[in-house]
Amino acid sequence: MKSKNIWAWIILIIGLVYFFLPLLATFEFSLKMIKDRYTFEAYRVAFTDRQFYLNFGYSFLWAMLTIVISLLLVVPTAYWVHWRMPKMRPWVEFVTLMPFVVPAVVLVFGMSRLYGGGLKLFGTPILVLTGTPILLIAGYVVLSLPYMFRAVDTGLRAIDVRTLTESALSLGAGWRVIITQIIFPNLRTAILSGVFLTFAIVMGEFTFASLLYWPAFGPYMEEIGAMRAYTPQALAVVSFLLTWGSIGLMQWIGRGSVQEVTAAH
Amino acid sequence: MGITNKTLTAQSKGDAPTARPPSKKTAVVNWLPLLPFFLFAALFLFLPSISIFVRSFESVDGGFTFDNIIALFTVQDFVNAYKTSLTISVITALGGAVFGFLLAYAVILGGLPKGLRTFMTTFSGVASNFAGVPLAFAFIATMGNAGLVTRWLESAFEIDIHAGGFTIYSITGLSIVYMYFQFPLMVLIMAPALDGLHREWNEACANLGGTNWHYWRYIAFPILLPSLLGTTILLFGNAFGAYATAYAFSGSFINLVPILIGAQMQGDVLFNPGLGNALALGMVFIMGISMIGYITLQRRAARWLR
Amino acid sequence: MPQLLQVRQQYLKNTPQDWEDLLKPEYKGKVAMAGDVLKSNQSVMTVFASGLSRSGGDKTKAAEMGLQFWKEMNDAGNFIPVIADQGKIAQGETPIVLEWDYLALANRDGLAGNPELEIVVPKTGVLAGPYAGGISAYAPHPYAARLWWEFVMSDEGQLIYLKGYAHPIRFNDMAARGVIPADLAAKLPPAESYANAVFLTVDELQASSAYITENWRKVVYGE
Repeated sequence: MKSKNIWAWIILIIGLVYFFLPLLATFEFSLKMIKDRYTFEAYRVAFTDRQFYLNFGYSFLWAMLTIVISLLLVVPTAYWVHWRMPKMRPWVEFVTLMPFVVPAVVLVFGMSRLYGGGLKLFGTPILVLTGTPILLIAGYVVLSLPYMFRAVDTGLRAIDVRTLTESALSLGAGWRVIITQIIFPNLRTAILSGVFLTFAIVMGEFTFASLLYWPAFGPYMEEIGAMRAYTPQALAVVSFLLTWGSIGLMQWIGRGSVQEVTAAH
Repeated sequence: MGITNKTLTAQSKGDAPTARPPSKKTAVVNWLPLLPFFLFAALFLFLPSISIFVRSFESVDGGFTFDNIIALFTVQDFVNAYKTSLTISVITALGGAVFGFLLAYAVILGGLPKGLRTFMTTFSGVASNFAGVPLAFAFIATMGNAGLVTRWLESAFEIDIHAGGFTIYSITGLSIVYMYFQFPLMVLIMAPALDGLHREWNEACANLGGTNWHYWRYIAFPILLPSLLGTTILLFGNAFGAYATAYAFSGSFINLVPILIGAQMQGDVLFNPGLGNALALGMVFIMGISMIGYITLQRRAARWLR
Repeated sequence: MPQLLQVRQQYLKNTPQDWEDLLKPEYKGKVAMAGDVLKSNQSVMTVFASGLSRSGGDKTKAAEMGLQFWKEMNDAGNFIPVIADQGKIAQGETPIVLEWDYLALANRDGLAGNPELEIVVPKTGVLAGPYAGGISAYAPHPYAARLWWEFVMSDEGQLIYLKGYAHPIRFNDMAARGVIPADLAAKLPPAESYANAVFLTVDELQASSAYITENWRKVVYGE
């Protein structure tokens, strides 16, 4: 056991050095806004920019929408597939893997052509969605599908869906009770982890927002990154810490559920 | 609620088929709940993807042409782009898989304090999405010509990492950068698989007189192998499609397929969307093959994860 | 808007004055462009301008010689293949950057001395990069659009461009009439530097763009 420990520590330390050096370098640079001194000036300036709050707010709102839609799409589907139609699982999984296969930059062009007047029914364009954030949210949901599904799927596999559902049904529980009081609580950690990954994805997403011209946080970061020095680095540090903090918070809220009990060694 | 959950879960893990045969209802009612999901996928995933296929045959003035597809195989630039993209993807997939697995193992099974596991998994959640301009800058600020580490090595040890011709603006350098989201992705995905290694198996092996080596060679690795390979393929796809980071890092100076696509679809110099779509089609094809491999491997892995 | 050098003093002993200076060994690993050759017209024009300097003003040979120049830059290790921006200049990664003058001057102001930037107009190979404006034939208010252009082309409008360091097209005329305020004029690089600015026609622009983008990787990287 002891020797296993040493190797584990060595690997961990190598990993930590690799991950934290670049963050440190960014942080160190962000402190240099005023010449020859270390100062938090860059952070102060970054937060006085009205655009920052606007764009962050928009992205936050869209992240919430994406999370809700993604959950509504994925959880019932995954549950149904696990309980009633296990043969469909590979197909559902295939769909959720497609976002890895098709690059975002081309998907967005396909979408904006198709739903910007490209679909024609008897010569008149239908489903013109450009100009609404629908395409953007749809894009976000597509991007988050692999993570959301995988999280919920893993969660569903760790609990015996069939037995739980059938015993609940045989005890006279209605569907509402089953969903809200049996399935969801057991999937709490899984759902939370999916939610947080989705949140991280949407807040940092650039391609869709930039090419569809929506004032999201991702394009804002790229823009100031190209036009300013010091403040973009300050923002990068802040957004990294914020996202990490949120994920940590969710982990803390979700602790003590079934998954952790069964996973404990 | 607590007791019920734990009892049920301890007794019957996973949804293995029960004693009675599964009901054969293929009535419409069974398909209905799946409809929203597949409808969404059709509208926002399949249809736009098909448009990629269709538009690959579009010439610059809107006519039909095979030129774009042919160009994929004949133009040296494109062939090289695919080669470079494949090289980087394979390198970072393998490297990411190996060290990512070691990292996951270290925090989960390595006997380290429990808190470190939470630390690593939450960090991986953020790091796996840390890409684009901030990541590129972070590494330039670390290892570039005026980087933190570069300057420190020079002042403290008088080592000039650029003396031997090393530059971060190379395939090697970009691979190092890509690892930043490859390692965490590996950790995130392998963690549940490592959790699935029942402790009883290790104990049973020890009981039968096996050493740690036996455990790993004959029990743990064979069980983990499909997951490992599958996740490696996922890492491959992740690296292949990475655009924001590569562009922020070296623009088009390193020849990669996503960069070429971007150059054709955006920017104020080149504009041939048909070609961009054709290049994307090539990408989709390569990724499609790797995804099929992934799915096959995952099915094998699922068997053991009960 | 000619191509300029912007130079970060701290890391350099001597400021380069012209294109050929950039090839000197003391600038190893220090020169970058502010855009991507395949995507940004600005970078294509950087290549062209360097060629213009080499060919002594011969526009027909500039594209080819420009590529040759950057090949040498790359071989010598002077060229850093990264897209430079304010952050990278400030951080020190790209001490010398080639950019349009109005962007370089904006950088100088934006960084406000942290670090100090020196702006240099190269002695030879000064290329003007025009921007064109248009009115859509389908514009809902075409006459309002025309009025807008009247304003942009007036003295007042042109001075606004100048404030952003972009040389307006009527610059020479306005300078001759003494319409440019003295403080504004002081902030710009000396007018003599622009005396040799070369303008390209649209055809020349397209032809050289095509040539440079098609042959960039072949010539510079030998692929």
